[in-house]
Amino acid sequence: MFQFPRFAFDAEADELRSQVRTFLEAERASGGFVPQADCWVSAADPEFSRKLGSNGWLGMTWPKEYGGHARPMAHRFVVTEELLAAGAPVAAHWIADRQTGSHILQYGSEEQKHDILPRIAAGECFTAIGMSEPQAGSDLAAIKTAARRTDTGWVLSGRKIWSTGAHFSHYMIVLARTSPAEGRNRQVGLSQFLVDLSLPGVDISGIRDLGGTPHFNETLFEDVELPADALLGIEGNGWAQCMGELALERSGPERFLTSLIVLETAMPVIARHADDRRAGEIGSILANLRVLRRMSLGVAELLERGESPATLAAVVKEMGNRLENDVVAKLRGVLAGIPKAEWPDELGTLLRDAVLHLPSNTLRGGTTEILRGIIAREMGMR
Amino acid sequence: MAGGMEAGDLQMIGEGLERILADAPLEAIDHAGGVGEDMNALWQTLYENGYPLLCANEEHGGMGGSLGDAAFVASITARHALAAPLADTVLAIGILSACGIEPAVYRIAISDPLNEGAPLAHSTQSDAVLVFKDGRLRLEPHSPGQVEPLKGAEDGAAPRGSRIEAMEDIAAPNWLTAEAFHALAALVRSAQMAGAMQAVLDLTLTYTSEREQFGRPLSKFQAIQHHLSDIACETAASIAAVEIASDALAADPHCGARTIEEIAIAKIRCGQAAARVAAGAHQAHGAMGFTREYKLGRYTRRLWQWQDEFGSESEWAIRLGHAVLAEDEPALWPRISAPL
Repeated sequence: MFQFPRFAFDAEADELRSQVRTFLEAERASGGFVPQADCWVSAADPEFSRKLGSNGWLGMTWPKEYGGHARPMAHRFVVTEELLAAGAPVAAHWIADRQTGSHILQYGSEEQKHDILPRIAAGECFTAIGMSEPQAGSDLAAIKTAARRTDTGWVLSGRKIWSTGAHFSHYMIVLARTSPAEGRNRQVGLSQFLVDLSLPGVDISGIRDLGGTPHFNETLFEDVELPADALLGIEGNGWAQCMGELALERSGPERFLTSLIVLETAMPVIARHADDRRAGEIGSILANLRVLRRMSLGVAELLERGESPATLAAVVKEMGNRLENDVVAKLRGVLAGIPKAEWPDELGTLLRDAVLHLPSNTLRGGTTEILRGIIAREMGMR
Repeated sequence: MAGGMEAGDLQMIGEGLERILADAPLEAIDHAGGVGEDMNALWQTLYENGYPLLCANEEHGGMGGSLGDAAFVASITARHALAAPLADTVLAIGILSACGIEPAVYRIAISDPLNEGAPLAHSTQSDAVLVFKDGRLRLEPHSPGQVEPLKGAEDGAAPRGSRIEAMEDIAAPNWLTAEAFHALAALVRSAQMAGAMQAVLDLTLTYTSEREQFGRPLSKFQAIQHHLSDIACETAASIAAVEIASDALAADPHCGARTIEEIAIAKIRCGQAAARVAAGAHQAHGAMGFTREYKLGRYTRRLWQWQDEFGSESEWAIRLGHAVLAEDEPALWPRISAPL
């Protein structure tokens, strides 16, 4: 029922992969970064993002006239998966490069494209997602944030929550109601806005996560005056646009590679204590990751063809999130019986951080339950 | 060895096979234990349409498919729960042809060189068994009296019960190690599992949309939807896993170490998925699925059997894990990100 198309990297992609690996090794050796689990959410380093930008590794698929590099989706995939596998500090630019930029490219005004996209591609402009609200999480259509038209543009009022990186971001794409729901159909009357977070009336406050890191935020919009071109795409089309954004958000390698760095760090000590039990777990994890990557690449191929494979993206995220959590659980089992004194220095910290991030994998970007509902709907069950 | 067929040709061959299987009384054949008149008639049809020779070289009267194409056929036969050793026969004849032997078209079972005591699949449904031992191949007669000889032999390659004994040991080519032989069969089993899981998914979707409890179809209950989502995800992963391995084999027909690793990944992933899919489907079906009469068991019994044949997922995982851990610089990423 769910077929993921085949996908092949070209010679340029292989060349690119070795360039990225060389760069990452040099950065790591020179202390440019310390590998972290869940790095695309937890490890923000604007300086590192700027380096990636100057290497031409952000906005890779966008047209050159907007500061992009007109490369195929496959090349972006190579860069992102290598960064994740290395646990590099990519959180600052991640959302802008992954979804906001592409969204602006599709729906933004010429002025916005020329203004914002080159800055994202340079690693100098960061963005956040404004979907969830205190009273509207999985039930996204229940949002209360609203925008009303004025003579000069729009006035935005409401509250967004769980926005990763909003505290260092320059823009947020906000989903807001612009006209009332039609009876039970609440998906109509929603629109997306590109909001400059430096505008008067925007108040961002950090929320610390389970591990104590202030990575996400609550943002209050108090009668924020927006210019007319802040409306992104078509008025009333916000729901469909959001779903397109989620296809970009849900299928990437960050949905199954966040804990790989922990396992990779442990591999030498596991190898010194290799036995059938440990080997079996390692073999199983490898098989699962390799297959999921193949599926994720299939979604990238569909995105390349201009499709919006929302359901296949949900499949990748659903399986990937379960796998990520499984990797951490199995790693604890594999390490059992190996004296802590033999562990590499950074392994304890990495494992602790990975454990503390476990709950968020199956929540952020759509909970497992919501994803299963999307998959069931595709099969005609709902 | 043959370089495989054009995708379009393979597609047509698959559609022809689908038609034959859709018309055959497969449930009745299954209930008869995979032997009897219906089975013989079906096998005769498959034989006359050339399916057993799919992977034989053209000079051997075959269609010139690659050994990876055996996986394609295996998936189709499993989706129809075909109780005949067509998939094994296609692989066995393909291997023999690749070794330069003009194959006789028996119903052939395959024994596992890495697990000699393992029970033989299709033991009651085959005329012969392909044995690989000490670098030599041998076709042994099997189950005399259980299966009817095929009719309509027109050339020297046609089946004759007496010819089985005539085949002598032959030395396998260097590339065909016990590991490679075991892996090729494991790929066929992986493809069969992926095919059977597709059937289980369809069956469970249909059943839960028709069966009502508490005044509405089971499919409207969220708990049931989650079982179906899980089955669909695991099935999709299995199909992808088999594609990775088949593609690797198409590019490396002599099944080298890296290709064996890709097959390991397919067998691990499909074996794990089979357990989850079977469990979820039975849960969604309730007691009906647990009857011999209802057709779910025709698929799940095979899933459980195929999980174990030619290396269970655990056995393959241990071997794969040891291969990674034995490297000078043990790391997963180079293997995860290796070219597809």
